[in-house]
Amino acid sequence: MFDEERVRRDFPLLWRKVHAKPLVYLDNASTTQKPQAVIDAITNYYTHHNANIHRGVHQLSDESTQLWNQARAVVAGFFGAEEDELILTRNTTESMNGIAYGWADHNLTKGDVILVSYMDHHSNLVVWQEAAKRTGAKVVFVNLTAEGEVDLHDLKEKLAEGNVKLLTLTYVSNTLGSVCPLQEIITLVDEQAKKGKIKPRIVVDGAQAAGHLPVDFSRLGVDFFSASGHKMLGPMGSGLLLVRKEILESGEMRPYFFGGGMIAAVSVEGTEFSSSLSDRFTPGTPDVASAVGLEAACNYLSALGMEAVLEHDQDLVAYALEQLQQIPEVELVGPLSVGSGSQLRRIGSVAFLYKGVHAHDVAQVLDSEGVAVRSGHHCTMPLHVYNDWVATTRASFQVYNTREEIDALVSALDKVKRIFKV
Amino acid sequence: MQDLYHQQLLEAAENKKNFGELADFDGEATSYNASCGDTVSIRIKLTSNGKQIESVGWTGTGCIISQAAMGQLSDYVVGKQVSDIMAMGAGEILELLALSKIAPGRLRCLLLGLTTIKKILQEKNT
Ligand SMILES: Cc1ncc(COP(=O)(O)O)c(C=O)c1O
Repeated sequence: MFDEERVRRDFPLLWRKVHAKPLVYLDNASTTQKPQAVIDAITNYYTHHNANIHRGVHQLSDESTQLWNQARAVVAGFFGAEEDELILTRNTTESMNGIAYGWADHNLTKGDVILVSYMDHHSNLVVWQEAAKRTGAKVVFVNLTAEGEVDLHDLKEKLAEGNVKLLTLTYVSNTLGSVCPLQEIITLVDEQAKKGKIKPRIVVDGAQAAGHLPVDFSRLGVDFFSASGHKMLGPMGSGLLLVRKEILESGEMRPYFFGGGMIAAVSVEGTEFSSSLSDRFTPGTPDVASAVGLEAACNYLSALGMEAVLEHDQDLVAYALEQLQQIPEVELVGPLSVGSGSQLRRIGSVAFLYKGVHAHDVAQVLDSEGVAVRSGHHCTMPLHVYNDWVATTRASFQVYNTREEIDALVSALDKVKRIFKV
Repeated sequence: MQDLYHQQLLEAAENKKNFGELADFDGEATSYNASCGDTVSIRIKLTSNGKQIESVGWTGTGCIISQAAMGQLSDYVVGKQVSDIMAMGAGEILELLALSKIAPGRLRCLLLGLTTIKKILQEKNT
């Protein structure tokens, strides 16, 4: 594993105080802090290279274009994807909308099913409800097990109906922390396909997986993968969508934003879209600085090594589960063990109910101790309703978090007990 | 922290005034605070001329701020003119809770009850 203290020195924001206490930032599932390398990459771009890409023959435009291409190559490589498979977006939500407008609208019709699950984030759910309205398809929910994992039995039954055209999976749940057994599910899907049933396209919401575990898109066996750069040490406004090349090349997925930059030729009669896949899905002037920042984030994580990042994460999650389970007022949600190897069960976060105190009040007291957590329903309302939780408090981790910070969380929870006299 | 969660506020959230459903009412509404899961359902009975609030009953769950604010507000509005209530804002609710300020992130909790009451009164008026 790497030296956390050295890592912490790379993140200037972590040095500040909150309410005169050292900041304990445990809201990483919302967005992570940025290392100096990312901040510098953005500053450097604007200080020395800023110009529009592809448009000019002048030196700056060339430099900017090169930086853009290089950023795309590094980001794609980080996820084991080809450059042509990468669409840079602003966040996971925009990526999901891209799949909906670029793929679902052209490939779904009445009678088709979009299979989602109760743990899906609103951005991986509302998008499908809206796509269903436009296409006549139906959204069907897969159940969860008591420990908050996809119920494979129920999934199998619903796949067997034979009308599932799109299956969306949350790789790592932002509320339960549970890890989706992608390989097992893909095997289920393949078995159905062998029986002559239609094979659904598979969308993976990788928002909480990116920057937490190694991802190799070329071997994942899924069709679409969305993630947020800002949740993996990259800048705000950076996100990505990976689409299997074949789906783009065949025209099965079409451009969904139109205008300059994405065309081959425009005439009065109509437009031919660019034959370059990366251009076809880059309408208008892209956010080069964000791309360059995201590239720096990928390089930062690669230097730490994603295996080591995962190992560190698992150490923190296991420690947090162990510590929080000793507090009688705390009821954890999601799997209670981290698992291991190919059976990883939990990554990145721990969320809990605190007996007798609303999550907002818990979070407010924690904040007074410098501990930043998220409270509410974390954009998973159906999951909260499904389980009858009003709201949960979530602590989520990144490379710079330490066991001592989990201790700080635990002692701040003591204050919750004192103030509300539970 | 004790400044925010002072004794009076904790008690207000504990002993929710006017908690329960009104059987006889002129208007009702339910609101959610989508960011945190707070909810209130309110029923209001107006005086016969429709200009004053005669009684209020409410149910709901949520954080201490939302629940204490709703409880205190439900007591305050009884007997008040509809027009006066329509003119209320965050300042008045803070006063009812003996708070000097609230973090931006909690403003929606604070105002959940008031916005719901206003919604009911507005619907009655139109
Ligand atoms: C699982 C999951 N999906 C999607 C999103 C949406 O990400 P963004 O807000 O960056 O679009 C989040 C963010 O909270 C998430 O945790």
